[in-house]
Order: sequence, then structure tokens, then C-alpha cells
Amino acid sequence: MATVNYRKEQRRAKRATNVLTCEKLETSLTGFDPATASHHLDRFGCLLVRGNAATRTAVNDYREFLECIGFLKVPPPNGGGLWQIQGGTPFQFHIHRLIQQYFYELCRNYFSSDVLLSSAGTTAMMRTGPQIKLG
Amino acid sequence: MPFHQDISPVGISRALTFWVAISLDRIGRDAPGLRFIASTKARRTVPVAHQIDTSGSHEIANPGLRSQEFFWTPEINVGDVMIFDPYVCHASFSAASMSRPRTSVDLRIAQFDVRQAISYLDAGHGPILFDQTDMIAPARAISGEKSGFDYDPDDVKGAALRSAFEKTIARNSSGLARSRLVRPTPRD
Repeated sequence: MATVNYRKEQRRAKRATNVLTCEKLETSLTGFDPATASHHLDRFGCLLVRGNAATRTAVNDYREFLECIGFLKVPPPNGGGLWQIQGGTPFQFHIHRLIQQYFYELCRNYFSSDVLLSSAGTTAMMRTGPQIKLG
Repeated sequence: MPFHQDISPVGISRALTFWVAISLDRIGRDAPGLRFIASTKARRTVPVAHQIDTSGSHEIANPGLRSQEFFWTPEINVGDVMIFDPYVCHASFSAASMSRPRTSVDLRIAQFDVRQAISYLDAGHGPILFDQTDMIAPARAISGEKSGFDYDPDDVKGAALRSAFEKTIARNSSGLARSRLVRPTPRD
């Protein structure tokens, strides 16, 4: 596989169009505007939201929990392989509550719905391994 | 994972995927990342044909790039949340310089739809409902012949939301879906 060439991708992004740039695809929870974020999601299909100290703390707590139950001791497969649990565990709702806390308004705007639906069975925890280093 | 759209396995045309980085390592730099094909809405209206094998793996063999599209491989750090719709083509991205494993959680959220909720119940997928303040989620996983997720009938959190949900399910659903909601749960 090729090495990520960020500069090349940024140049291509700038050449591609005046409106579809990486800057449009990234925002932050600091000053987060759910209506604007919903608009960008609808228009471009993807959005990276930079977390804040609270989300980092929440995710760090969650990771500690995963360490306690041994999830992080399972070695992911090498070669870019994927190991995942689809549903099956109640502790994943921790992340659902994180999403509820920070992204409910975004979802309400995006779907025009006050009640939102997810499921345990379509939630997955994944560990992805690095490539095998030969020689 | 090769390039694919989530619409193929998820099947809900407007569900959003929330992808949360758990790893402390910088995803897309030190650990394998995600690569997206950033595209305009016009390109994200129909499912693209996927090759599907017997294991359920699905991929777009040659996604290609149109003139107004580009690959986007963001660096994602712990606490960041990547959100994308089910028509966005994306893949895992790994390079030789990435030596750390990646740990992530991804979940799907859509607007409440009673047929979808019932299909989740019937399939044992354990629907999760939430509004601004309340959330109804399965209490535990169950295994065996009727594997799936069990709800605790004594759980009073989100009572109004739960009551509305049960009434909606009762009006619209099969007996199987109803039984998954009200099944008595064994106590330790």
C-alpha cells in the first residue's frame, strides 16, 4: 500500500473544487454549531469533529474499562486485518450516551426527528492491526 | 477493509455512522486510518455495486474518482468523532510506517422508524432509542436459541419514552417483538 501523502491529498483537494475542501470536512466541538454541521454532513457526507477535554476524558475512561475486561489484550491481526465484536455487550452504551450528549442536536437537525434510533447489533468495536513488516 | 459503502450492510438509507477513536495512538499516522472519497451529494444518492463473498465481506472493486472528488485520509485522535452517511465510500488505510494497532467503536443512528425498530427487535439486535434527555437501551445480552438483547422491565429510566415505545410496538408489531420488550429477566 502507498504511504499517506497528506500534502499531495491537500493539493488534489484544492484542485478538485473551490467548495469541497478538507477544511469544510472538519470542525471542532469548541463553538460547535449543530445546524451548520448538519448542513455540511448533508452536503458532503462526512465530517470530522475534533473532540474536547470532556470527550477525551470520556473515551479515556471507556478505554480503561476495555483494558479491565481484557478487550485490549486481544492482539489484532497483522496485515491491516480487522477484529471486531458486533453488538453483544452492554458497555457500548457508554459511547451512545456520549453521542447523545454532544450530537443529539446535530442528529435532530439532520433527521428532523426528536426521537432517534440505534441498535446494539449494528454497533461494533474494532481493533485493526498494522501491516506485517517483512525482513 | 476495502472500499465500501455502509448502505450495503446497514440498509438504512439515512443512518449516520459515528466512528469514535479509542486508541491513544494517532490514527492515520501511527495506527491504520480511514480513507474516504470526499464527494458531493450528487454522487451519494444510490448504492454502488459491491462484490460480496460468502463471509459477508463486501467491497467496491474499483471505486474510481470523479473530477470533483478526492481521497481524504484524516488524522484522527482520541476523543475525535468521525461522522459519515451510508453512501460515502470509505476504507481502512494502512501504510508501512503505521506500527500501532487501532481501536475504535462505530455505531449507527437514524431517525426513529417503527418498522426499523421492530425489525431490530425481531432480529435480536436490541434497538436503542433516545431523545435529548432519555435513553432506552438493552440491559444485557442473552445467548442460546433466542439470542439477542434483553430489556429490564423494572428499568424506569426514560419512563415516558419507554411507555411511548411500548405502545407503538404493541400497535404495530408481531408477538416476537413484543415478547423481546417485556420478557421477564432472571435475577442473580
